[in-house]
Amino acid sequence: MVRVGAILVLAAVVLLPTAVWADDGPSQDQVNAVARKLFCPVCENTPLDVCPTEACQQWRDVIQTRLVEGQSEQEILDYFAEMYGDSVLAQPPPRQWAAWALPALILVLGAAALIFWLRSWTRPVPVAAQAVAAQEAADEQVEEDRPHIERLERELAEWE
Amino acid sequence: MGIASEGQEEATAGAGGFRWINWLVWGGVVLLLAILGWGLYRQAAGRPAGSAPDFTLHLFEGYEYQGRDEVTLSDLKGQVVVINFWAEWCIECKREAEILEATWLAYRDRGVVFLGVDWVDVEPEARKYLVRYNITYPNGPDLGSRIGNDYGLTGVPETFFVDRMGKVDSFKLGPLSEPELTSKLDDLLTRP
Repeated sequence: MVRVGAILVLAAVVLLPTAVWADDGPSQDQVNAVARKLFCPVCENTPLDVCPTEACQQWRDVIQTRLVEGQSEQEILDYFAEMYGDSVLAQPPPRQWAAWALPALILVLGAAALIFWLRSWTRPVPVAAQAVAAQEAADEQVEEDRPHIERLERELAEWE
Repeated sequence: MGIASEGQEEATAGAGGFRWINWLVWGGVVLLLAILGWGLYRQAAGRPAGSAPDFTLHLFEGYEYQGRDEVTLSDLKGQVVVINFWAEWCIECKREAEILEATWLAYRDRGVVFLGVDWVDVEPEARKYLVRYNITYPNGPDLGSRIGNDYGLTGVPETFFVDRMGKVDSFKLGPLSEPELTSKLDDLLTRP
């Protein structure tokens, strides 16, 4: 009986602080999980969860308050975008389609250009094409030399 | 002859393909340069010149303008307007807060309007700031940072002076001193 009582007391000692802690609201990790999806409004390219400025501390407090109120992560992000503009979001919203489409378009175009460019460098010139090119060059040379050849033949004929 | 024709076709197709790739690569380069140029242009354009970008400022309760809870800049034509961007977390703003309020009290009956635009701030903290520095001129939040973006704001405090014609006369980056604020207002008030 004494042993059961001791176990109950021990359980109460261990669990009570946990219960009290749980009532304190969201943990710092939960706040930071939302905060890292936002950027500091003052320092450039600094996520909110690691920014040491007073402004960012205030914003983290706002996140905590809203989590306590039961708002979802998306609702909190929407609130910040409405209050401070889309530029505070780490990820542009879908309505800013250009922000998503343009990099993808550039990537696709660049990859396509690179592939075709490299292929044009590495592709061996077909033998037939080489032969045609050689024949065309020879024909051109003959055409170029034709007056000289004709003159030579004429002079040889006269000499004979 | 058959082989030669095939080769010729291949050679032609190869040349056409290369030309197409050239266009694609150069088009991509031009597109990237255009995007870069546009970004630099927007950055350089920065502060407005000429007509002041119009906006409607929704005012904090207790900081209304002539009993109205919002004020539109274009409605203030004919008056000199001082647009001061500030934030509670901004240390330099605190240095000029009392100067702004004192100057507002001195000039408010002389055709001058002060507008405080609270930039990327948390409302409860902003309200505490207004109370702490006994500020009485119209003040409101820059919702969506739209006003700040239109004015090319890079930080706070920053103050824009708009003349009676509704044009941006000048701006001051950083805290204002009393002499520079009053001399600027005196100058603007002498102009038509």
